[in-house]
Amino acid sequence: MMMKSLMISCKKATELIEKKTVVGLSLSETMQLRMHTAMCSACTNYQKQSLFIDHLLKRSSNQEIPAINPSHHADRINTLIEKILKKKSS
Amino acid sequence: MHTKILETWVKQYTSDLFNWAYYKTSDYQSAEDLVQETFLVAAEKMHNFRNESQPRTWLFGILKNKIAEYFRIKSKTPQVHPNNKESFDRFFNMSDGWNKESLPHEWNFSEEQLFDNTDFNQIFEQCMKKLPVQWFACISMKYLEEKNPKIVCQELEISTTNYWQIIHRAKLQLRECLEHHWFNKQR
Repeated sequence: MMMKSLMISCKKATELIEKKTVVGLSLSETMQLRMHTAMCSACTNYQKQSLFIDHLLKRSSNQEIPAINPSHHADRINTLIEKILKKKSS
Repeated sequence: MHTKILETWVKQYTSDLFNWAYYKTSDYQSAEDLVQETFLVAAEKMHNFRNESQPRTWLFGILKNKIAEYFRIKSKTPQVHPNNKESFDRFFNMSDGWNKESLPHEWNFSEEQLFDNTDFNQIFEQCMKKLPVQWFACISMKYLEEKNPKIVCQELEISTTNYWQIIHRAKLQLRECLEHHWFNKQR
């Protein structure tokens, strides 16, 4: 019985991996996840990659001007500035 | 006096604010609206601005709140429920093990190098844009200001359980997208 409840599916394991980053896991959930990843290389890969994606998201959120966004919106921005200034003075 | 300062700010920071809003929403019109609203709030709250804080930081604070509001409204559009069995079928088989074609392979990479790789960042951005609006909103809110999940859920008006289930589903899709469009091609 105990053994059975420790065994979880890959779907459940990935669910716990994500749950952990949001609300944390209970002791038995932690055990289940550790047991599963000890035996499953696919879910171990998933866990590493999920953390990496977290780092990416965190980075792109905290970086105010992302590297992928060169100012090729110059015209649009100039029009926008005029629009805002006009509104202010009216 | 305030008007003069505000004018300088509009000229100086519109570009940065717009780029950020566009990066977050991927929509020109929304980005323009958000920046205009930011300056409107700034004009109203000018008296709250303290000289010891940077105008740029202050304006970005207002913009971030506006973006959160924007996602909250967006996330109310009806979506496929994340628990919908079908939405997981692409990844898992009948006994909830990985489908053969979805099995996560090992990625060979150095985090630091990928962070600064423009091609990779573009792929990542494209993968983000493929997410349904509500999932995109949840994932973006999670990292926007390191917000407490309870607060994010209140803002998006969903339960905490629903929230991490959406994150789970969105992460599965993001991970797969990166594997297909980047890591498999690097082999």
